[in-house]
Amino acid sequence: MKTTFMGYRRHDGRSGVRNYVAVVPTVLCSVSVARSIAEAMRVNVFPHEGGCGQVGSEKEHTLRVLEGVVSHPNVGAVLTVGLSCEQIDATRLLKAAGDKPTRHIRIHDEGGNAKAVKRGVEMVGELKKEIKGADKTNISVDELTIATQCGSSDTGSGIASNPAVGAMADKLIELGGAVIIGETGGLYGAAGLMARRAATKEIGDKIIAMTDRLEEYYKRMGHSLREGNPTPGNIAGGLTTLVEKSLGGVRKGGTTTIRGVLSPGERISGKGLWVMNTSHGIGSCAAADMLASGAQILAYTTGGGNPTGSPLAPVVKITATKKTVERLEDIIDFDASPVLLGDETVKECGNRMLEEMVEVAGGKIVQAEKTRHTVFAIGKVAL
Amino acid sequence: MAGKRRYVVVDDRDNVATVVEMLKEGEVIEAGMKNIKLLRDIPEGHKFALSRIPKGGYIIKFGEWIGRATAEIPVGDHVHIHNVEDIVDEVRKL
Repeated sequence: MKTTFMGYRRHDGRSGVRNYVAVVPTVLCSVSVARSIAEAMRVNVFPHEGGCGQVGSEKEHTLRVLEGVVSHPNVGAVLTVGLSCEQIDATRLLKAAGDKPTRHIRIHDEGGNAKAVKRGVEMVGELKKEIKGADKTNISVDELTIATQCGSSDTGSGIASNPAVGAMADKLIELGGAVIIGETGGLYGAAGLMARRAATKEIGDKIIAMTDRLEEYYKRMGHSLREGNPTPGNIAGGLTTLVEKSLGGVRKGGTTTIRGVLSPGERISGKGLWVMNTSHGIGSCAAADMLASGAQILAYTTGGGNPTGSPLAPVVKITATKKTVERLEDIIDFDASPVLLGDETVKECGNRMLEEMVEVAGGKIVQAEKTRHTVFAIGKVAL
Repeated sequence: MAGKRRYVVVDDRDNVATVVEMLKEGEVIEAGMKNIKLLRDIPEGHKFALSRIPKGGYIIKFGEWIGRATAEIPVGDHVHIHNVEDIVDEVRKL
């Protein structure tokens, strides 16, 4: 197996698998201008609904994720787009970018929307030139952090594609890399099992506590996380209990010891398997949290064929459902159906998947990048 | 056996199997050393019992408890919400 790839060495020592120009609105009021700039220049934009009028953990969470974006090893240059009166201080944000080329504009300073778009487009042009032909260096697979997620799940997810991602995770960790598993609501029914796999009792207690906080949040609104879970669709598909659903989901993390628990969007600080409390956030919010940690690739299992990509990292779409592979050619990257059909063991599939991850790290374009399908959102609730 | 597998047993400790395609009542399925006669239709993605599960016994999938039988479940019977209860509070403890 190939254990190195050509990637980008960053000033902080981390390594990137892409060299994206990021257009980052500091506040929801500047999202539209940021989007126009990014679309005109075919670069990546990071829309969100925060940056002003936020307090406490919600405010900190927004800033943490945006800092995670501008400092991310897959990002080579940054343009921030502000209004001027917002809460988030772009200077602080740009500090996180370190020595990357950066620019900053504010809609008020530029004299309105159209002028801001025009100026922003010029600046992205400059940034593109500055990072063009950036040196790539040989990087070892042990520098990879892969985040994991599932969406539009079906029967094959819990018994084939998630275990295959788990086998890939075990192999990457054996080689010295890191893996993140998140989706707090999803692992609710498996929290006890996950806690028992933690390196220390403190880490285990944190896993239980983060799921308790989420359930308390729902209770304050007079609801429960267990309501309608498993969903009618899950039940029709053969899932019987919430525990079964959760156990199928957490298989993505593999079988190794859990090294720590991260807050939503917190930077990962070690190797091995980490759990991120993505809190209330689902889908693209959870993806943004996990990727903001510095993970360079997202391994995403899907039964029905979820199309979402990310502006921060290549998202590798994995399915064990042959029908989905055949029907959704521009969504699916990796066919894990041989596991379900008995033609490949979970371990063999995991090895093959890690080889694919190394190829993607070295520049192989995934379907979501090809189709420019990017979704980005920052969750409002960080418990 | 290309594409021939009809059910998956995720872990050796499991007492249920998940079917990959709809299996019919009365079909006899080879499962390891024994033959199992299905007592009902098992829709795609659903589970059947590999061994007798007494009332109150655990349903085991992924090598873990996923629920508790609310009635005795004979070998080959459909295992689903009609004869299983969730055990989420029990397994959420450290």
